[in-house]
Order: sequence, then C-alpha cells, then structure tokens
Amino acid sequence: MTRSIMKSMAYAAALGLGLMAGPTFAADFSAVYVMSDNLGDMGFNDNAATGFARAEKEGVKTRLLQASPTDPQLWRQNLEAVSNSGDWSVVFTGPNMHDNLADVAPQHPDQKYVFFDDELKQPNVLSVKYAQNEGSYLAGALAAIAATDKKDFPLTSGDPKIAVVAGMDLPVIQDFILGFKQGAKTVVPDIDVQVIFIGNFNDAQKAYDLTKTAIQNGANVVFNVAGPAGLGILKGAADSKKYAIGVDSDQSGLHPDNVIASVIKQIGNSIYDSIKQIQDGKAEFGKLKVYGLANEGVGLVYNDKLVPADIKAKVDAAKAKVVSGEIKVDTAFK
Amino acid sequence: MNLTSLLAAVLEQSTPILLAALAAMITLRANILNVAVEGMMLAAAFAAVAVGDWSGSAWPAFLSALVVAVVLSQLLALLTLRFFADFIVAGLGINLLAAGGTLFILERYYNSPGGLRPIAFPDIWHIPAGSLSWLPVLGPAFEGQSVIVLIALVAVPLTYVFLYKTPLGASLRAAGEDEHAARSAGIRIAAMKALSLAISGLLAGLAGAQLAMDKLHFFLPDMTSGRGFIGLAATLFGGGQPWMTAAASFLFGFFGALGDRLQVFAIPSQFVLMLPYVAAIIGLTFARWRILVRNRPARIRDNPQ
Repeated sequence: MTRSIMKSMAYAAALGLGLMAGPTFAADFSAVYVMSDNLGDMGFNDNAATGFARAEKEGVKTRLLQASPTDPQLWRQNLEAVSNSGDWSVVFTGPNMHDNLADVAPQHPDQKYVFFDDELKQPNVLSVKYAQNEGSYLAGALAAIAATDKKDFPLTSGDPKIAVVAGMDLPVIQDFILGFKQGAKTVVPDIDVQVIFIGNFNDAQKAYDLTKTAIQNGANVVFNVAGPAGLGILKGAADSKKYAIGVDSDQSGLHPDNVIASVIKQIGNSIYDSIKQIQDGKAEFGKLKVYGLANEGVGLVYNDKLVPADIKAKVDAAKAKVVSGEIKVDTAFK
Repeated sequence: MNLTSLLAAVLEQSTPILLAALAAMITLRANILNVAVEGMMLAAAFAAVAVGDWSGSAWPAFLSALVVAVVLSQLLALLTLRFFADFIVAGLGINLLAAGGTLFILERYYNSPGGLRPIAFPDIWHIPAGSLSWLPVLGPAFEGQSVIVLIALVAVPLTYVFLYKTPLGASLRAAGEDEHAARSAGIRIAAMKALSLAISGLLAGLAGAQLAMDKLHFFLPDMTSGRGFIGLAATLFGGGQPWMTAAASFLFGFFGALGDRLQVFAIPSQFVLMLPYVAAIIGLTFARWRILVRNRPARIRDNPQ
C-alpha cells in the first residue's frame, strides 16, 4: 500500500513538473503510456516499451506511467491526470483499461487516445489489436513439421503429436489455440493436438507438471500460451528433452536446445507505427486497426541453431499464403 | 495411464501440500489457525532462488529458505504473543508482507518485477535414476524425486512422535487444549505457541524450497498459488492428526495429478481443474459429519415397546 502511495506521489510530482515545463514542448509531439502493470516482464510490457524508445530517439517526448497490477485505482488516476493536463499529443493505454477509457475518453473529446490489445468505439480513440491467431498458425505449422521430421529434429519420436499448454480458457487464449491447431493440420492433417489448461497465469509448478504429462502422452512439441507460468512449460519440455515454442518475447535463449521458436506480438512496432501515422495525420481515429502477419504486427522468431533453412522456407511459404489472403486463419473473435 | 508416472506425479504434487499441511497442523495443536503458511512458503521460495543465484550452491539456498520462513514465523509469534494481535489478521499481514516484499526486492534490487530466473542454478540432491529399480512400481516413482520429498515423508512420523510421545509435544498440545489448565500445570503457554510457530515455519520453509528448488529453479510472484491454503484445508480435513492430515494431503495431490491426466480427454478444463477443490469440500463436509455423529448424544426413546 505504501508503495503505491509513494508511486502516486512520485507521479504527481512528475506531472507537476510537466505542467510547469508545458509551454516549452507543447509544439512538439508527445506520447504517454498509462500502464496497468510494471515493466520487466520480458514480454508484453517490455515489448511495448521498445516502441516508445524508438519514437523517443526521433524526437518524440514519451513517458511510461507504470502502476502496480493490483492497484486499479492508480491506473484510473493516471489516465485522468494525463487527460486533464492536456499536455500530451496522444495518450496510449492498453490491457485492463477498457472501462476506464470508456469513461474518460468521452469527457476529453479533443484528446487523442490509442488503445491497444483491445477495442473501444469512440471518435477520438484508435483501437489496435493483434492477430495472434496468425502468429500461432505459423507456430502450429512449425510444430507439426518438428514432430514428424526426425531427421532435422532429433529429439522427436516422429509421431504426429503436439500439445498446447495454456493459462486460462479466455477468448484471446482460444484465438492462439485455434490458429495453432489450424496451422498444424494444414501440414499434417491427422495430427493430434492436446489442449491443456493450467487455470491461472502464475502457477509455474502446475505448468511444469502438465507439460511433463503431455509429453508422457506422446507430445513432441509443446506450445506455451501461459504468460509468466510459461517458464515452467519451457523448463518441463527441456527436462523431458523435447521441444517447446515460446510466446510474447524471444524465449529461445532460456533453453537454447529445446525452444525452437517464439510467437511474438510486435507491440513495439505497432506503437511506433501508430505514432508515425498520427504525426503524419494518417491515423483513422474511431476505427480498429489489426496488426497481423501482413504488417509485421505478429510473427514467429526462430531459434536459428535448431531450425534449418529449408524448414524455415516451408513455414515462410505458409506465411505467404496467409499474407496474400489465400488462407483465412480461424479466430475466436467473430 | 501409466501407474508409475501417476504415482510419481502424485508424490510430486502432494509434497508441498503435505509440508504446508503439517506446518498448519503443528500450530493447530497449539490452538493457532495459521493462515501465514502461504506467505512463509513464498518468502522461502524467493530466498532459495536468491541465495542459490548468489552463492551458486544448493545447501546455502536450502538453509536460507528455512531460515527466512522461521524468521517470518517468529515475527508472527512476536505480533500475536507479545503484542496480542489477532492470529488471522496478523497471519494475513505476513502473507501480504511476503507477497509485497518479494515483489519489492525484485523491482528495486533485481530490476525485474516479473520474476527472478538465474541463468545457472545449483541442483539439490535427487534420487538417482535406476537406484531403486529393484522395487517394482514404487521404486521408479521415487527415482528423480528431490531429497525434500523424502524429508516430507519422514516428517509425518516425526511430527507424530513429537506430538504424542515426547513431554514437549504433550505440553504443546496441553497449551492448545486448555490454556488455563496448562498454565496452572506450569507450562509456559507463549513459549509453546512460539515453538509451534517455529516448527511451522521450518515445515513451510521446506515446502517453499521444494517449489523453487526441485524442478523450476526460478521464482515468480505468487508462485505458491494457494498451496498453503490447500494445506490448511488438508489439516482441518485430517482433524489435526498427523496420519489423517498426510492422507488428506495425498488425496488432494492425487486428485490434482488425476486432473492433469484427465485433461487429455475432451472434458471441459474447468471441471477438471475443479477436482482438488471439490475433493476438499467433500472431505471437509465428511470430517464435520463424522464429528457430529461421534458427538451426538444417545437417543432416549419415549416409547420402549
């Protein structure tokens, strides 16, 4: 509690300074990100921060307002404070902020907002979402190849069996799973995909146990869709000497002999792109923009040590079909 | 379904619950409902990973986990026995302290609030593969288990002997059963309660060390995920008796491991994940019912024809 109070005070002080210095940078472009979490997760938030860092190098004034994930009131206070100040050309906000933004955005019709990883229909809000199903589609294709190709992937049994270990049964997670299944089936039609849920996003020990169970049931590749608990999935696959596919950031370095690739949402890219478009006056506020494979919003990064070039070529061929629109990837969002 | 792998999974999943349950049991016998087991486990897990990362060897990491949990237990003893705070309120305070404190250190010292994952972490002793192959089914299930699993199994008879066969254990139970009678018999109540909390801390420290050091070798905020409270439920289910508490812990571990295996079938995951908790509710209901039946007065019949 005291920690969050201290934080609020620090932010209040920071904002106060911002107000005093207001006129000097009012003409320049500035962006603030009101967060519902902290940096340092090696995933979503750190990825977003890279986008702001890129923009800052090009002269955009940026500020990231971190907040404890257990302190929703502070998220709201920060959002109201930056909206009231009127100092920021654009206010970014992300997960968990839907209801807050739905209240605050209509009160400040002249303030521009970018809302990413979610959608809000307001004339001054640009919503940005990610086609995680398309990224997972490639992961599924790679997993199916890895499970059945004993020559290039010596740790597999050759049986067409793979698994997804997921955090909770939520729409965004189902979107990952649907894409993964479809991608696997296009390569190996009779592939067996186990879908397993942990029930939360932080029980790494349970994630580890479930991964071992999936592997005992024959899975050769396990796809991690479990946020922080996913570290347990990767460890379970590594201890069982099988393969895993990471998520949210490039996780190959964690277990270089076992993690063959990672599905990433290029949140940083999309943020940088949004800032550029707003600066150029091209952004369409009031609409939803989807970042998928076609505009580099999601992607698959390989572990070059484990995935040979000809396999990459096969997966990239599948990617080309999605980009060209020849294949429509299943989605949980209708 | 492979019996050996199921047994191994039951052992692995039951161990933290069993240790947490024994930790709650020992204080329950001194008339303390210890809700702080969860927090002591979490702090111990963090200490194990932090010290393992810093020192590079397993034993200091293991010992520091125990020390941190015992220190927290004595902080709880100080708050409740010296300053007369309520046990539940102070216990929940310890949980908040552990959750917030670990996050604070992660953020301020390690600069990564998402977790602490050392690149190399020392391995604690595991039963070597193949060493128990002479024992059918059970042997292979034990292979690869950490030394803490063995300690947990030994802790059950040890707590039994301590509580029922030693004078100190008898005094501890007397302090819990009837404070006034025990005090008049010359037993130092506060010392007994502090001792029970210290043993509780030791056992909770083992539970935390098992979570962090057995397989995972990293720390995540909230990685205990309610195991301390499941252990508390197992103790209440077992009525504070060592053998029954152990049986209840294994029951929960069994349903957890069974649930993991049932996920392969097309059962909705929500139902499978419910299993250990459904088992807890049924178990607790059954335990209450048994006490009711036992304590029911003999029925006097009005009409003896």
